[in-house]
Amino acid sequence: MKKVSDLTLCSILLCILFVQEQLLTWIPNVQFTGFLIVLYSKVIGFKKTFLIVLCHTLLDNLIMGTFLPTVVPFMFLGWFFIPLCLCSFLKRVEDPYKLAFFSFIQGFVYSWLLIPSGLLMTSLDFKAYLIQDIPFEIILATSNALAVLWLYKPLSKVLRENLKKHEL
Amino acid sequence: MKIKKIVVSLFLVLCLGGAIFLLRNVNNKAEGNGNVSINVIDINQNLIKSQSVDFSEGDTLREILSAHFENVKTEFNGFSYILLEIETIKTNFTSSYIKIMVDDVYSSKGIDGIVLKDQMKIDLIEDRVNL
Repeated sequence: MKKVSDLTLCSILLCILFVQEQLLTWIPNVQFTGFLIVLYSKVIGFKKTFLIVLCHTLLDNLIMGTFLPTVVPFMFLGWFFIPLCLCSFLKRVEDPYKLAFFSFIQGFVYSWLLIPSGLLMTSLDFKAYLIQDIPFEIILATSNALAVLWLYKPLSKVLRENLKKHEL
Repeated sequence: MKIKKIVVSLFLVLCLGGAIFLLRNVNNKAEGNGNVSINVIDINQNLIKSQSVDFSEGDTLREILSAHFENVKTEFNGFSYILLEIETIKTNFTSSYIKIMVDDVYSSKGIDGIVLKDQMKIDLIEDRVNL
C-alpha cells in the first residue's frame, strides 16, 4: 500500500512539474521547474525527487523532440543537481533566502551544463554562444530565485500538512 | 524581514527585466539605404530563390523577407522572432531549422538580430539539427 501511495504521489507531483513547464514554454527560461524540484527535494526526499526528475527529463525531451544522447544526460544532471545538493550537504537549510540563492546559482549551473549540447546543435562559436546565452541564464536564475523566495515557505507548509494528513 | 524580502525581490526583478530588455530591444534597423542579396536554399542544396533587394534606412530583415518572398512564416518565441518557413521550405525549429549565413559566415543572430548593410549577402539554408 505504501508503495502504491508513493507512486501515486510521485505521479501527481510529476504531472504538476511537467504541465507547468509546458504551459510556460512560450516564455523561454521562465518556469517553476527549479522551484518545484527544490520543494520536492526538501519535502519528499531524495529518492522520490530523483524519480520525478528522471521521468520529467525523459518526458520533456520526448515531447520537445530533443530525446537525444547529447541533450538528455546534461539536462538530467542540471535538474539532478538540486536534490543532490539539497538532500546532502544542504539538507538542514530551510531559510528561503539561502534556498533562493542556491536556486539562483543552479540556474547558471543548469545553463552551463547545456552548453555542449547547444554548441553541437547550433555549430556556433563557443564565445559567441556563451555571450548570447547570458541573458537567458539570468532569466532562468532570477525566475528560479524569485519563485523560491516567495513560494517556498507557503507551499512547503501546504505540502507537508497534506502529506501528514494523508499519512504519506 | 518583509523589507529585506522586498529589496531582494526588487533586485531580482530588475535583473529579470534587464535581461528581457536586452533580448527584446536589439537594434535591428538598417542605418542607411542599400542593397542586399538573399538566397533561399533547400536541404539538398538546391537554390529555391535568389533575389536582390533594395532597402531603406529603418528597414529590418524580417520586413524585407515578408515583402519579397512567398510563404514567410515567423514565430515569436517570447523574446524575438524566428524564421520557420519561407518559399517551399518548412521547418519546425526542433528537428529542422533555417540556417542563416551572412556573407558566407554562420550568423550567431536570428532574423530579428541582423542589421541590414549594403552589399550584404544572406543565405537562408534549410538544415537538420546537427547531432
